[in-house]
Amino acid sequence: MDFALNDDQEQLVRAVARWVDRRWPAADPSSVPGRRAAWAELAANGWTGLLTPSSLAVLDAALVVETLAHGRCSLPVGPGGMIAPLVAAIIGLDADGRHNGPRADDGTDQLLCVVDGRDPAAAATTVARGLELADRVVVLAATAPPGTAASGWSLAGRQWWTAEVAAAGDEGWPGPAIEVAQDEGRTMLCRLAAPVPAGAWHRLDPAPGELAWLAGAVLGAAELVGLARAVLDSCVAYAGQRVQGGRPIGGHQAIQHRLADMLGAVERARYLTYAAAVDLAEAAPGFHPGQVVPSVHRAKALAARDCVAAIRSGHQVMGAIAYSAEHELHHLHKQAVVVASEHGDATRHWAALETAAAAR
Amino acid sequence: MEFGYPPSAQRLRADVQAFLAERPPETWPHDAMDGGYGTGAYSFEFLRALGARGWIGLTWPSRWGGAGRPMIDQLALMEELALAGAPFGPLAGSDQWAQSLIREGNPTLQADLLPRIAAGEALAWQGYSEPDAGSDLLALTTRARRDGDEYRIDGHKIWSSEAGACTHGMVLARTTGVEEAGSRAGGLTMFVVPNDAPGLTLRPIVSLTGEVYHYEAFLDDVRVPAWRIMGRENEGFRELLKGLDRDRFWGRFCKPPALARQLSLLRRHVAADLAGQPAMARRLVELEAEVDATRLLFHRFGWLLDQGIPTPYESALYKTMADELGQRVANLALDLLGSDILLDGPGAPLGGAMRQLYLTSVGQTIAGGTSEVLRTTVATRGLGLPRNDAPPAGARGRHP
Ligand SMILES: Cc1cc2nc3c(=O)[nH]c(=O)nc-3n(C[C@H](O)[C@H](O)[C@H](O)COP(=O)(O)OP(=O)(O)OC[C@H]3O[C@@H](n4cnc5c(N)ncnc54)[C@H](O)[C@@H]3O)c2cc1C
Repeated sequence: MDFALNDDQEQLVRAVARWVDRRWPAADPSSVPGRRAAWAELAANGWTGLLTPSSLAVLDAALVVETLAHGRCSLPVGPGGMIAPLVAAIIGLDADGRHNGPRADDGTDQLLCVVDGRDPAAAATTVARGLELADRVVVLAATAPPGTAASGWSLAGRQWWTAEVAAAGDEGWPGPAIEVAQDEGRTMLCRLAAPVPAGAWHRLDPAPGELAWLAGAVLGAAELVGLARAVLDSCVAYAGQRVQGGRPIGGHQAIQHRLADMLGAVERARYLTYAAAVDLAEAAPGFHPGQVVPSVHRAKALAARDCVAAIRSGHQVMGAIAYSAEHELHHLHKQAVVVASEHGDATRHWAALETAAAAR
Repeated sequence: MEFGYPPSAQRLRADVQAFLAERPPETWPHDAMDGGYGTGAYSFEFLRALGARGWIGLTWPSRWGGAGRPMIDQLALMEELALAGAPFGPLAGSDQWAQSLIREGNPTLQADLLPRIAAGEALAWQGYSEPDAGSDLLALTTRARRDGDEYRIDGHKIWSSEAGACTHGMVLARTTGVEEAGSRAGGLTMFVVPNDAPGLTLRPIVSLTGEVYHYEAFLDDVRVPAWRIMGRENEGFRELLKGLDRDRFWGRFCKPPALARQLSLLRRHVAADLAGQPAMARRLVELEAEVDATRLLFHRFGWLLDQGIPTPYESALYKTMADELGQRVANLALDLLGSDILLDGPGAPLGGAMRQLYLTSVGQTIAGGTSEVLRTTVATRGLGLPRNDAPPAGARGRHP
């Protein structure tokens, strides 16, 4: 039992925190070119290459994602920066000999993916973050075996599919592949402009497909923890400064207790996420399709439920000021809402646990 | 990061399992009530059996007859007992009592008590609360005055858990007036009072479960020799605070594994009906996840304590979380079992286990510091918020 980060991880977290502190606001997060430039720096630092098919450094990856989110970075580092290259690398190693997956660790060839876990047909309607920055998009989807809907949701027996497409559109695509569904400034929601043509899908081996999806779930949990920590920090600072009735609002028990509850929710999700990262990395070498790693489902479901709730609670602490679009809170809130549903929302992860429990 | 137990603790877990397989938890006689802390009922025979295996003094230094093993082994021992539902009620409290004797006790007190604690033959109750001193413990009025080599104590304590099943009381009394001491936290002294001391009367209080749990203690000119002071005179409250983190830690460490066990009992009990109750199935997995995550927080807390890393708010936060989680599990049990949850005895669902969980869960968020007071502690000591509305200095909570 050891809850300390090792020296390399400490250094990694420090470096990422330094980067986000100095470079992220400077990189103009509200503009697409600004975000692209920041993205290229992240990739150049090697922080997007932590997951490969032969080595899933899930905890390191989670620490990077959490630290960036805590620094209010809205780049989709988990899905786009880490899972997309992982899936691309898996495609590169496909037994069919297919080798056209996008490779780009140098930041020039932006990789982003819609990771859905539902069937391929749904991929076009699923919103994802950061597609506006993409040069190429990697799509990951799964089809369920017939009859599973009735008996609950699980990963078991799913077929995994992937497709990749140039953002500007490839042959066979009607025009640009990406459309903006909602522009929230720092968090733009995009989707594929058209369904992926049937012939563009490639079957993935289920084990790496599932592993990539589960790794994405852990990174999502980590991002939610980072966002909720950021909101908690701002709320605590605000509660100490904002004076009403001659005293700081942070002296009122109603505010104090709300913040104490936020801290509890964040800590619980945080350490469970770390445990999930370690569990998944341990399970990876001999992973078999349908294998249940309970901590991964628990971490994503708890983080999706509790971190989003903590962030909502932050609005109450801030009062009207955070109702304004000029305040950062709504950005963090919206980012969390999107992350909560990527790689399985809480409902789906709870359902996976229910299915596993019923089968025991 | 490494979340598992090291080999020595793994071996101990296997030893505990073998011990419990030889004589299962339900075969030991009970001597006092299960207060719902995850440690089960008091069973003197069980406690003595643990003592005989050296498991009470597992981590004490060898000069006090301990095995000098690392704290992580003790986590493994406690967790294994809790997972099995063993009746080891006073074990954690005993160990904490012994640890504070080792830290602060004088040689006479140590020689008198440590061997008996190690054998499972001496147990302490906590005499802190009074009728008018609850959350505001420093309002206590019990007094002790020096008379030669003795102190004479007069006062009235209440809510002392399991006092009648113990051998000694840890009685907090004012030895110097507030003005002279300079603060309400000063001038208090902790006395170790034997249950058979003349002038001490214990009145049992029947709890909401129907069993005796609390006692009221009347101290009428109780005389104790000066060597029965724990720590230093007038420093009783500060010393109590020093041990507070560990007390709260051990007081709730067994709660998550016990809840894990209770959830799995419930799951098995309702398995056949669960398919038709999707809302309940959902709550079960949610609570299982919360229990797992809370257990992890306690592991981290134990690790922080073991490393000597300061824990300004963890005890208050995690205790509150564990207690409220216990109440959510109890609520699920209520929703699954309905009013049958109140039944006890042979016809009761799960042998009455859920009755005990449900009824005792209401006391958890009060005992050892209420959730309200502790949230304020988290906010002020953990988050650095101002103390405008805070309770008077030294809001409390120690036992169990
Ligand atoms: C199961 C159980 C076991 C116990 N065991 C022991 C024991 O072994 N030894 C012992 O000495 N005592 C013991 N106690 C007593 C326990 O320490 C007190 O009950 C506790 O400190 C609260 O005091 P009180 O009951 O007087 O409630 P009060 O302090 O009167 O509180 C009543 C309500 O007011 C709230 N409140 C009080 N002050 C504040 C504040 N400043 N801010 C916000 N809200 C506030 C409380 O949170 C609570 O909701 C035990 C109690 C229970 C229930």
